[in-house]
Amino acid sequence: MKPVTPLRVLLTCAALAVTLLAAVLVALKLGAVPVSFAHLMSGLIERTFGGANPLPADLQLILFEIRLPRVLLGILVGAALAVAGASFQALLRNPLADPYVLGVSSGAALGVILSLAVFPNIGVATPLAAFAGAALTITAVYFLGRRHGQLDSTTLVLAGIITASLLSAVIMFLMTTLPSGSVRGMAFWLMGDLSVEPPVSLALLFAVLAATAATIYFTAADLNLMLTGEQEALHLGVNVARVKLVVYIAASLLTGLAVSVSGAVGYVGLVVPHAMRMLVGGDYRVLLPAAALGGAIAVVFADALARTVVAPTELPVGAMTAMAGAPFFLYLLRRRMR
Amino acid sequence: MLAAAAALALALASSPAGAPQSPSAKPAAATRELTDEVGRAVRVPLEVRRVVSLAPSITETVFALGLDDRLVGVTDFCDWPPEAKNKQSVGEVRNPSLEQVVTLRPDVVLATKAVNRRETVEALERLGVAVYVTDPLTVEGVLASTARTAEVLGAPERGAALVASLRARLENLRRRLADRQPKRVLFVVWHEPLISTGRGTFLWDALRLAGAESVVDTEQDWPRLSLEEVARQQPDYLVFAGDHQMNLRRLIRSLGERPGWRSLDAVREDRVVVVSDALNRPAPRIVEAIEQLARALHAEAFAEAERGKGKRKKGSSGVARYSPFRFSLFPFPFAPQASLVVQRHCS
Repeated sequence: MKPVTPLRVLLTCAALAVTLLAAVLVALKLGAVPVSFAHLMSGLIERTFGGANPLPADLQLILFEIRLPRVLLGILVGAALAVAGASFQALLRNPLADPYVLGVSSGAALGVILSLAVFPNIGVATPLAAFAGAALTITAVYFLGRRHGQLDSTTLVLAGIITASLLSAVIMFLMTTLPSGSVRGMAFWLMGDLSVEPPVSLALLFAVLAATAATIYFTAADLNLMLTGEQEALHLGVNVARVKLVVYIAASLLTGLAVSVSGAVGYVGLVVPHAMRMLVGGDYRVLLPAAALGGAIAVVFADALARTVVAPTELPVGAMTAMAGAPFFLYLLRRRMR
Repeated sequence: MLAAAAALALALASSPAGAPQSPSAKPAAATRELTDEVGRAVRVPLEVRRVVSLAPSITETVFALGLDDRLVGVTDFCDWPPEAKNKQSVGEVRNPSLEQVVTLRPDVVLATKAVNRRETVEALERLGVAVYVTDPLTVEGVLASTARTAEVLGAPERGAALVASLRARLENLRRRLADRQPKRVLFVVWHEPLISTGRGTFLWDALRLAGAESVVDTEQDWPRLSLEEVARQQPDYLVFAGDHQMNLRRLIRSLGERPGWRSLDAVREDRVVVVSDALNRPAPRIVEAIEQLARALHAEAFAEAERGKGKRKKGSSGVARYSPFRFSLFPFPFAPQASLVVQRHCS
């Protein structure tokens, strides 16, 4: 691989940003109701610069009140999950690490369900409870995964899987026993769904995403060293314990953020970082931003498909990412073994 | 770099909020404010010309009111009356396409709490679409909801007439069953896992009006049961709803061989009743299904009256007892009979 320079990072991101823009345009154009490309472009121009010929009211509503918020939500969820996945993979030096494998997503989901049961009318409670659920879970898994005072990757992953399965059982229990009204629609949400507008403004969610992802990015050089081994990183002067703590917290915040607005969109945190590693190499200084953009592209595209393949009925986007992600993951696995 | 991307995203995210707000589908026509059945305030035009239904029961209700010319959108599940299938679909009840709904420019969207998601209603509300939510919890509630739906659509007189005739039929039924001991039944909503209905649903109430008493007594709306519990209760009858479904016929034929089910007296002694799936829907047709069930459970009460009138053959009174044996001889013995029952009630 070529050496990583700021210019290379910038060029990579620019190329991916253009791809993302294309994906956004496709996602805005596709839907149950046909919108011509001319209408789409004139609508966008009018929206940005203020224009002369306004679109029909219902087309405006469809483009900017229904599709655009959903596309933005897809960008948010995709970027958050991919960065969280890449971070967990570096911390654990384990390619299978992913918010789902570690149980962090299930913890966030449990938080959401509890908050809906207890405070059904407080919108902000949902993402806060998801953060709390994710953070508590990763803390528990972190301590369960320690052996002889050291984090042990295998033990950690096992602890995560078992915790996830325990939390799923609790979720099933709650969904069966809680009065059906309070958790109505949850089954759909659990499969990963972008159709529900988040209870908190998108701008705030994006601000949290940017701050958290930037925090992780500042440790990118340290993560590179830690990938070669924690002892080695320690000898090279990396404050391993602090980096790990910061990145664990940041990554679980990202997971909580994604789960609270979209439920369980699987495989993004697993597949996107791998795909980006194949494209741009394993250096975290370029991999992290590439994964963020790649995750956004993947989810925006998957959701465009979810909205259109059986239109006017919509599929949960989680079903689409799993259908595309699982075979890709198997392919990666086979390639690794050769 | 990430920050730059985030800034761009922020700009994109905030621009819709700053721009001129959601262009309402049409210029402000004369409207009135209603309170729907879940207590939400809904503003609908005085004259409602375009209606989207988000549930099969609502589609049926609008058709029963004779207001189907105003129905511009239905769901994939709206299969009754057959003409409903010719209407534009907006997708599935749990997850309809909001864009499709908006494109149809409805004056009001009708939803029902039991099957639609709150998220769908809230999303439509944010898009400036009026959504009226019904929530019938008893058969009386179904009638009241029918009357209110007619009122929302600006045709209260049609609602009043329809409800009066339905109420008369129920009253007739009540008198006929007045001195009958209710039959203890298990209503099977789903068989695997076994799901029945609880005290808070319109179905529970419908069973009661048909002279049946559910052996399941619980606060939960759709309780999951163990067959053990059912075997302990030994209901007089098993009741299924869904007359035209092949799968249901096959299921009922197989009950005698299914472990657990075959230990029920009702199965062994062939006391299995199938009524119209209208019983499952909180719409006017439920009265028909209630009558059908009452005839099947209390044949004597009807036989006497009919013999008195001398109009019908004895055997035709709501035939709904099927033996596995009969099925094995001839696969569809009840199809013509069932449709006979339905026709009779329709006329």
